[in-house]
Amino acid sequence: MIMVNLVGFVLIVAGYLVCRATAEPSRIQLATSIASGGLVVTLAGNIVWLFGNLREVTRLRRQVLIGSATAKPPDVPAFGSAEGRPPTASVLVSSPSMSRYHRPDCLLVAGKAVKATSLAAHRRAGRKPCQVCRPDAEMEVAGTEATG
Amino acid sequence: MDFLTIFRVLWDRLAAWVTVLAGLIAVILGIVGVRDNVYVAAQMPYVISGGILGLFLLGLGATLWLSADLHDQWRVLLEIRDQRDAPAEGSREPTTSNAR
Repeated sequence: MIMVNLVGFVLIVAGYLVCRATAEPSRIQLATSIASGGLVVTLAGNIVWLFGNLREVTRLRRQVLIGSATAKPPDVPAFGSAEGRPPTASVLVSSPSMSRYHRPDCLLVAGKAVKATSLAAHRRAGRKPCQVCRPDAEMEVAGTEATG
Repeated sequence: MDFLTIFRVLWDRLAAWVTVLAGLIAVILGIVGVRDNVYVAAQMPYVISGGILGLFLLGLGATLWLSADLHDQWRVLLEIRDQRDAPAEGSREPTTSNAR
């Protein structure tokens, strides 16, 4: 990217210098062509470079999404009752080594040995909410709906 | 947050803004220069230095801005992938340093 922009900049400056030094129409036309060529080279190079980066990001995103889709669901023990309860936002998971609590379906805990505990217990343990699944966001919305 | 910290975190976006501003200034100066000259031969240097160089800088600024967005996205995706692939014991927790 730096090389392409450097070449484009040099061509534009060269075009400017040629154009400034003469009043002859053919030379001015040449100078304009050189400068326009530099602009076209730069824009084309930047677009190619950006598309290359976009392709890499898309590949990584696909890798992350496919990986999370095929990952084993978290091993969440029953919470609250003997027959177990389906995981909801009020059931938040973590492990003793983690400093954050997550939703059960958060991809950051997929396939990991985590335990479900109440929000109060997580907070007592000094854990913070996960910034990816944002377990607090749903609770805030629920709290707003309940009060509003 | 002091200026150095802001610069370290947002240097790519600052560079994009500076480049776009320089491009706009070049275009405006080119327009002013062309307006003050009646001869085409005298106008052409302004067209090149103002118009073409201005477009070059605007394109470079847009590229830098998009590149910064892609870079942020790349870092977050890498972090998510590393978190997911890390074993449960002793695993790193997601940090908020990249969240914007």
